[in-house]
Amino acid sequence: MYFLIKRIAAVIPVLAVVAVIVFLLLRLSPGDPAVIIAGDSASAQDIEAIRRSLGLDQPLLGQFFEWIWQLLHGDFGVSIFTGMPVLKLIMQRVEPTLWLAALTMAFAIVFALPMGIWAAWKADTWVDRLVTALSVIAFSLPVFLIGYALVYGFSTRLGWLPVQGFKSLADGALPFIRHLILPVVSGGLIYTALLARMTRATMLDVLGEDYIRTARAKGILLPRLLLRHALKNAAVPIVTTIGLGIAMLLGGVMVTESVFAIPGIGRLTVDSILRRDYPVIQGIVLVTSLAYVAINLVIDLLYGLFDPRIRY
Amino acid sequence: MDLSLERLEQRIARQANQPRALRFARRHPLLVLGLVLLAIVVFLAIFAPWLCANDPTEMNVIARLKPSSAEHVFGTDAMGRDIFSRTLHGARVSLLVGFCVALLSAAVGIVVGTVAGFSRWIDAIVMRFMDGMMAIPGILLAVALMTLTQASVQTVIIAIALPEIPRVVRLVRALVLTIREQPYIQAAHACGTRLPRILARHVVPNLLTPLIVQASFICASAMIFEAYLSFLGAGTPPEVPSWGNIMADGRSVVQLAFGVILYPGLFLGLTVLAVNLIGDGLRDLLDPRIAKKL
Amino acid sequence: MSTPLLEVTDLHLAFASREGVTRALEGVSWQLNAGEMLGIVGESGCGKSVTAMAVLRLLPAPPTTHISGAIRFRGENLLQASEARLQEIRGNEISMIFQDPMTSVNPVLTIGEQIAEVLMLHQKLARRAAWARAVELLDLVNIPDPQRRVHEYPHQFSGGMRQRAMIAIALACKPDVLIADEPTTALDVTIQAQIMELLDRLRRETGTAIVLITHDLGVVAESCDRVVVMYAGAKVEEAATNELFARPSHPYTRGLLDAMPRLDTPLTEPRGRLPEIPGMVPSLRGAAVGCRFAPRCALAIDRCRSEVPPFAPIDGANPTHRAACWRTVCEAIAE
Repeated sequence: MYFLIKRIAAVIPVLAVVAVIVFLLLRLSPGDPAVIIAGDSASAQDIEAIRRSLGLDQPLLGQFFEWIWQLLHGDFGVSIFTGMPVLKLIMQRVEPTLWLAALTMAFAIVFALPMGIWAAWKADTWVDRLVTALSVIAFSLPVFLIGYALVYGFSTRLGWLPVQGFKSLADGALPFIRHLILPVVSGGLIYTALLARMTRATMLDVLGEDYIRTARAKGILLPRLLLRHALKNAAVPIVTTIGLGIAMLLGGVMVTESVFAIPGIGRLTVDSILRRDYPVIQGIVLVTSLAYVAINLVIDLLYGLFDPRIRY
Repeated sequence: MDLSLERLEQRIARQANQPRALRFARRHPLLVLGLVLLAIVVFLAIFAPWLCANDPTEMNVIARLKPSSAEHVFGTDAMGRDIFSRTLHGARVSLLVGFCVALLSAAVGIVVGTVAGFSRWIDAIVMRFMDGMMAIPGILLAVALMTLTQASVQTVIIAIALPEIPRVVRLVRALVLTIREQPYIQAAHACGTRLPRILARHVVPNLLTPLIVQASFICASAMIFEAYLSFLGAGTPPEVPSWGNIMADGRSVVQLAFGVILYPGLFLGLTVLAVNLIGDGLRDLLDPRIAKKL
Repeated sequence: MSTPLLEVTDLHLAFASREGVTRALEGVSWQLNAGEMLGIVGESGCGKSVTAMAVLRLLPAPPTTHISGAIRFRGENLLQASEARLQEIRGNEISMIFQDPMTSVNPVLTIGEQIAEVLMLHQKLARRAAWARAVELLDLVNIPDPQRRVHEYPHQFSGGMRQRAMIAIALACKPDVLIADEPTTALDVTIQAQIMELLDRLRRETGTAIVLITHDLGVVAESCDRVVVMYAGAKVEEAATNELFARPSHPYTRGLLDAMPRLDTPLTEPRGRLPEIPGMVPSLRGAAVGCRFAPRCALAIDRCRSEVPPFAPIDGANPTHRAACWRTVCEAIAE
């Protein structure tokens, strides 16, 4: 319990620094952000209005604390373009992104773990080389190239799957899945490659340990040897990679949403970039960072499940 | 007694007599493959103006979205521009971005990391700041930076380098903390060697090896990042023919002319693959302990 | 004499790597009879542990490893056994304990699970019965409060207790053969004695034959019936324990015995440095020409460097005391 409180408390300074960085981004960026956000065709009044709405006309320190105060009350500002509260805009777009991210992660884990484990067990054989080669290649291909190639193959040519779009689970499971298969695969390959490499490397370490030799000398059967004796020891670094890789996964998901016209956070980001709607982008940065930190906190707390030596 | 064993011994002995270059290639085939691939891409990028018959920015309304032909090897895009020429010229921008990001983040990382490793109170502040930066997904930090600045190749380089810096700083700091405790550093202290000289002569040279490996991975991911940013509309200005921009242009016509995205995408993939292979190969070469694992 | 329980015959073993071929074992043979404790002694790198690993076929697969000869367990050649058959034997009929109890038990599984899993696997015990038996086994190896300890993890055990737990795992299925690879090397001296006592007691109680692999001649002297001395991948001498200590024949065995500190020397005598065997264990690359020990041997003659000595009885009186040395053979003839 004490450990729990300590871990959660350790997250607070991180979040505070995130807030400071996001705040400073706007203040310290070269040139006048108001002018850049307003665009080339803006009048002097427009620029002045934007400056006021961003609080750039206020003194630095006072503005910061006021902004933090608003954040703590769930006020993430107002979109310049639509005039809607930023948090509301984000919440409207959260569902597809959450599904996409969760399924992509599940896809990656389901494929990467067995591949990495198998490659480590078969180290220096053609299985290992194939897995390693595939993961280096998948790690090097841009997400949208994979995405468009899949669309070209499975949608345009074969006509098996929809080209783009998103169907909520409420509209039925089948359309939901049919719309998500290609985005999940294209966004997930790079993450799969990362996880497979990491799993292989960690498992290779573990399989060289004395206790694996002991287990083999006991006649333990292969599935139990790999999953119970080896994987449980490799779990902490693998789970850490799953957590830290989410930052990369998010990049993939944003691009995937753009490729498949999925109305999620990525799509909102692209629209906001086009409109130079900085408050929305700032809100997205804050919300995703919060989610990222929270997920990694949960993973941190899960370590104890895998390794009895970690005491709370 | 064992015939196959003796044959094996003979083969090993034969290989030991091969020229060094061949032996090196046999031992590190992927590193050599990466170097060759990268050399080809760099060659194409440097000599792009002489290798391409067509101007990369010249539009041709009549020859829009043409498939591959003798005149346009990779076809043309929605404005009739030659994709082959644009792809080769795009290599220049992407390579530039990749190398500059790697160099910039490594340079900043080495300075900040070394200082943090040697000064306790700066360390506390800097590392908290770095933790905060690492908590923001890199692509979003870059997007936020790009919306606040005038798009140009320089701003893209900075926007991509910034999120990479904390990782380099962490690496450098961890290394410095280990190196600092080494007997030869303490011996240098004891001999009255001044700190800047210790840093230059003993610390930095020991950092370079792991840093080069890290920098090559950063270079690879920076090229992908540049493409992502351009694709999302937050990258290099649209008129610059970077691979990301060529592909972003192709987004609306992908159903009609897949080549607009395919060819630059493949070039990007191949270049990133080459740099990743070099990074993997260097790590194995420089750190034999890890060589067996990855 | 009846057929031995475990019989290693002319075992050759080589590892291939990019740098060359290492001949780890060159024609090693020995037998283990039921209920016996056989010591295998030698410096690190002489091939003792590799022999043990070969018996349970725990070495990497070809093409990295070349193995020939025969390992017969109750007449069955393990080198030709299927992987499924080997898995039946491992931990059940032949089991093994290892040098470092700190790293040889799985840190993330409870001690109880690590004992119970062998019982569930080999003896088809139900979970509850297996755990009950695990408690009994911990008690058998003198771990206090086994009811509670069985649920603990290895990091909650001391080194000596972990080695006891390893022994409990190894003996869980009442194996015919226990291979103990340097079981006491990583432990404190007092704990060493306790572990050896435990092994000896269990051997007497259960009738398990033990192969004790060690570099410590003291341990061998106390507990083994017979001793095999190995050097650079080959057997150099073999004899009953008393016989070997009374009349060491191979110069290498003599060197090992001389290098042992003696407690029976009166304190009044000047104590010099313990004699040591000069030089290092040779690289095992390439086939052997002559005696492997010749470069370090003070008694070496030309023949030692050109011809591999045969493994033969040192004299007619005692056919079970054999050595591989031209000089002892010559001496025997001279006598």
